[in-house]
Amino acid sequence: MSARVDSPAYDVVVIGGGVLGTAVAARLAMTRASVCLLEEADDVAEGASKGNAGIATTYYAPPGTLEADLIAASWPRWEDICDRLDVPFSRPGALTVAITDEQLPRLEPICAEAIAAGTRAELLTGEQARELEPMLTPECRGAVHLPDEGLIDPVRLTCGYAELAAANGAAIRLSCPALGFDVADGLITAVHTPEGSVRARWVINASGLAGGTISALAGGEQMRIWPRKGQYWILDRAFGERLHKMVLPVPMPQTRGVQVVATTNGSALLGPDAQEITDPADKGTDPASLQAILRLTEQLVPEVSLDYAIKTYAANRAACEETVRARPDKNRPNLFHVGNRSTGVSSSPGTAERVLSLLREAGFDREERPDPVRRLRKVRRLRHDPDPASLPDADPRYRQVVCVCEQVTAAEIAATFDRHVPPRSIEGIRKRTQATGGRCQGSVCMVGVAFLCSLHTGQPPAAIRSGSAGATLGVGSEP
Amino acid sequence: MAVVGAGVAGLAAAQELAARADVVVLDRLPVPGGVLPYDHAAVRTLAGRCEAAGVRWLLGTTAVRWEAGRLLAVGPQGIEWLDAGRLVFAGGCRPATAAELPVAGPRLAGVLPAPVAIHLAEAKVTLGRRVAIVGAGDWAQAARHAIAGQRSRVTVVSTRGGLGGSSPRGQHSEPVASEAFEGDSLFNGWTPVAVAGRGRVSELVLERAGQRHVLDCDAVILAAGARPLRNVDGAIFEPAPGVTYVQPAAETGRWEEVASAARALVSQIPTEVGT
Repeated sequence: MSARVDSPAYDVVVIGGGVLGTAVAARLAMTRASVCLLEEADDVAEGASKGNAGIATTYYAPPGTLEADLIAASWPRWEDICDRLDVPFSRPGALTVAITDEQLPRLEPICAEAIAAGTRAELLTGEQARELEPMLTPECRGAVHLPDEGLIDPVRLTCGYAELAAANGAAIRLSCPALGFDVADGLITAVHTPEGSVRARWVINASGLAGGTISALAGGEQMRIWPRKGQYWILDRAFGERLHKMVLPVPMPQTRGVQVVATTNGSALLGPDAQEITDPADKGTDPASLQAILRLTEQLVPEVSLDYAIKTYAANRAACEETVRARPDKNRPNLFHVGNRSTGVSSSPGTAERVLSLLREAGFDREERPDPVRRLRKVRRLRHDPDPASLPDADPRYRQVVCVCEQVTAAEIAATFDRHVPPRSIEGIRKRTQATGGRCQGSVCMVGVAFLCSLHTGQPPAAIRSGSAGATLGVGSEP
Repeated sequence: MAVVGAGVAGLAAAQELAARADVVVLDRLPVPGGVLPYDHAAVRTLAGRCEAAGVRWLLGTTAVRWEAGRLLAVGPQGIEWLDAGRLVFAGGCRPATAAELPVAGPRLAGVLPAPVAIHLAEAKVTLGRRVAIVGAGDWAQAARHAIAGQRSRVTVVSTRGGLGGSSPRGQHSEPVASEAFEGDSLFNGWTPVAVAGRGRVSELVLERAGQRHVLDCDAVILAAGARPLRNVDGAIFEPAPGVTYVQPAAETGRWEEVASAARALVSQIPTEVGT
């Protein structure tokens, strides 16, 4: 199944619509390059990019590492990026907390390394830490305070990158996995998809958990990538809005450990744990792990309580021996691997710039566009608008609240469809607006959301997709 | 005073309060009644008494946020802050969510809260060929009724000993309305613990006294474990400043009992408030 001469041709084909793939596509689309993004799922942000804690970190790895460089190239830019892409962001700062005398000596090296990596950090006594976060355990012996640590909505960020890429002409192809490759003279020439082949001068492998498979299909390096499952509790805003700081334990070897962090939406997350698994599609939660997470977070913030619990979920990070990748393949010079087992969101702007400069070193010659789209239209939101009374003047549909828990109006849902990358399911609407994601988990509003989805897509309610896997609300109407 | 919810509890509370305060009643729906039809005799009677007592209506209007002394209301008239000395919240009940039951597992198509399942079935959506209903109370029975025409194989899972689900009367005594589930498979005394599937739900895992059973299904209707429905920011958890909750403890009850319980609750509100 070789590509035909008349197959569409792109300068760059990006495989994977997670936060890294979309960030790279958005950056490259600001040059004169023609860009195509292929995503297997029916929406962007369907893997680790939607199931993470939404931390925009300033420090994770020792100075001098690729990871530290990519984070350092990213974190000072968040205010600007999030303003342009209409992404919720704040910088509450984080406390890494020692709760035993044994943990206390580990704080100083963390603090020193953070400063060496280029961020602000200070050592605090337990008492000083509790002044910054009164909900912190009285057992707190001391803490490292990282005042610039940020909270970001990782899904809205990914959607924003995809939207920006599309606004600058990139083709975003959803439900369109890469199935194989044409290779000539050691270089990839085309990518096969179920919709036919696309020819490509450069290919970016940003396919997360599928990264190893994609590399193998392309005749690239062997890469072993496996799922590392993390489980979370979501707690109500009534708890999350009382948190002043992100609260983290002294880190563990594989992960930052189980944290108590607010989200940009006001709710709080407890998690994630880290469990090495084999099946990438396994996103199940289990009661024992969730109980363990609760116990660990209670040690940090005793007021944590399941009285506030709204939902549990699990997501799989893409673990790999090479924890952070932004480099060309050793066998296929026009194939670039991009991946990150933990700080993908936090390093995404820096990773996108890195990929562009690597491409340039390899001969990519498309200049910057003189006047690319840099900013997306902001959607006013009932729950966050400083002047809610004036909203109906902008759009009468603001008078219709669809999701009461999350205060999402028909106008906000309509706005998600007025995009290059609209939602294709109830889950897609939730990701962009929070509708159905609140305290009652759609008990009141899911029907309304489904009917609005029906109205905007022209599909009957039975054929409306529930989530990204294509399963529909009704049976007997699957594609 | 602002009363949120124009079901039986909200109407009875509003009528009681109207004797001593200016009262406005809000409801998301354009008609009073809540879970009862708007032309139900009890609703008509109570609404008529409210009318006579000078209660003001803001129907089709959603209350979203309560702050000391004011309530943000969104409806056909626009978006406005209503001044109110007290919020009387009569939002009724909803079934427990998967997290609340708790049922572990991923987010899957086919797992639906009972009110959603009932509405979709009424809109001619076939929910599944092998449907599991969790709970056996009124929501479960209403859901069973709503899917009656869909020729699905139905299994009812009741966590309690007898059929009767989450309503208190079912807890101790008679199996209620088992005829609603005639011909269905019944799992009495089993606890649902997890759902599994790829995209769509394909299994509901049940446990009873160390035993485990996996139900093969393609839809799960969550109709157990009534919780008060709370969705106005600032009036979610008890106690909330300036808020009186007038919500039944279970999904149903005789409307006379609900009304008199509501009257009793609001009669404890200090007189000086809102006057």
